[in-house]
Order: sequence, then C-alpha cells, then structure tokens
Amino acid sequence: MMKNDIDKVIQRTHRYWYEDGLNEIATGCMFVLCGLFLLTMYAVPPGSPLAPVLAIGLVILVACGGLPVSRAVKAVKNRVTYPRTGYVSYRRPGSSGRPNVVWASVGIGLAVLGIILSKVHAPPWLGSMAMAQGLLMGAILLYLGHRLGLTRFYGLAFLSALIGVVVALNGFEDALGSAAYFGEMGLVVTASGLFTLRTYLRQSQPPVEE
Amino acid sequence: MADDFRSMINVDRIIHEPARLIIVAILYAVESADFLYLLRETGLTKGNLSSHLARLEDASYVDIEKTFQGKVPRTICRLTEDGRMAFDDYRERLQRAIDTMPEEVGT
Repeated sequence: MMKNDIDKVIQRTHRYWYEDGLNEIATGCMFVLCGLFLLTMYAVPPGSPLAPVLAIGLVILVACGGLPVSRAVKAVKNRVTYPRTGYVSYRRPGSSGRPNVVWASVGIGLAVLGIILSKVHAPPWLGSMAMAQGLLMGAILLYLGHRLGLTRFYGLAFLSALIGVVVALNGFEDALGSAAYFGEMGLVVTASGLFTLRTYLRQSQPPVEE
Repeated sequence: MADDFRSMINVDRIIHEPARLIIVAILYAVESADFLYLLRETGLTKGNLSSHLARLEDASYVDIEKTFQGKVPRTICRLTEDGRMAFDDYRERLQRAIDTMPEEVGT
C-alpha cells in the first residue's frame, strides 16, 4: 500500500459525511430560506417597521443557522445513515487544519476585494452581487469537490456560477438578484441532495443481525 | 539515500500490515468510527477485523469503547495519541523512501 492509497483512504473517510446527501438537503433548505428572507425584504416598502426585523432575522439566520442545521443533520444520520453504513465522528480542525482556513480566508478576502473593484470599474451587470455570490460559492464548491474527490460538486460549482451570471444578466437589483440566486441555488442543492439520498438508500441496507 | 531505504527496515510492523494500515488510516482521518463502518470500508470479515483491532489495542494504538445507541450496541474505535504518532512516523518513512526512488527503475 503506497502513500497515494493511504491518502485515498483518508479522502474517502472525509467524503463519507456527504455520501447520503443529507448535508446538501439541509444546506439547500437554508439557501431557500435565505432567498425567501431577501425576497420579503425586497417586497417590504422602505421605512416599514418590518424591514429592520427582517434584516436582524437574516443576520441571525446566517450567523447562527449552522448549529441547529448541523444538529438536525446529525440526528437524521443517527436514524438513517449510521445504522446502515456505520458511525463516524469527525475531528475538529486543529493546528494542521489551520493553513487551509488561512488560505480560504485569503481567497474570500480577494473575492470580496474583486467585488468592490468590479463595482467601481466594471459595467453594472459585472458588479452584480448575485454574480459575485455565484462565483464565490462556485469556487468553494470546486475546492470541496477537489479536496474530497466529489465529482457532483463540480457540477454544482458550474451551476452556481451559471445561476449567478444569468441572474446578473437579467439586471435585477442587488437584493432581488441575491434572493433569486439563493432561491434557485437552494433548490438545485436540495435536488442534488435528494437524488444522492435516494441513490444512497437504494445502495445500502441495514446489516442483518446474525 | 541508502539510509532512507534502510529506515524502511525499521518500519512499525504493527501498522505496516495492509489490513491494519487501512484501519489506522481511516481512524487517523476521524475522531472515532464504529465497528460497522470499519467493516464496510475494509471489506474484512468480522473475525478478522476484531483480531486486527485487538492487535492494535494491545499496542496501545487504538482505544475501543462499547456503548449503546438506544438499544443497539455500538463499538466505537479511536486512534490514541501513540497511534497517531506511529502513523505519522510510518508515513514520513514511506515518503522518504519514495522520494529517494529513481523515476524509472531499470533504465
């Protein structure tokens, strides 16, 4: 067994978290919820007392939504995935994972800088928020797909960029464009997760007790 | 160059065995994994997997804990700090030996 094979075993173990599609379903639903929040914010007339409530709600959803979603995914995995194909608990990123976090932060920082610069110097459609969101999410999905060896994430990355570009070309305002991007991307990610879950359930059965 | 190859002779034989190497590589990537997951990923029989895990536990490379998930028993395995260090050392020796190999053997 050579080093390459060892790396593949480690990569496959990391990939297991995504094997049942539950994480994608949860993330997709979060995106749709964000899209609905943004759409409601867009629809509410300026100066309405509902506007700040919705803004605070969106911030809370983005900042704190990850924790209950992660707990819900774990609870469903406990009932669906672990009895079929086994239980795995992942390590929290320690010092060895920090360089990746630093590089990811640098990448996101550069992307934000790119958005700001494009807003200053480029035509309006190029500076669209939806386009930036689509490309940024696409880059994150590409990185995850490469790191975990998940080919369907390459497809999702392409679709993210495509949705971002199409929404930008339609010339929506930033709030409406973001709502359209998150809503559509959320549906795509949820559909991908549901398809993955169906395939997983078909291919795996709980072990028969002897 | 010869020293790098010679260091392979002193490689940890407990980890070097292919089935145990897969088990250790899986456990290295996670906090813990249960017996069912290891069984599915390694393709070993229950008896074989048990015996390899016992060997790794004897060497203090793996901790084994028997728990219950509801009414279902679950055997949780995790790599100890010693196991992690031994695996790091094994990979380092392997990498050194690979780095010293010529590009095309026999040319």
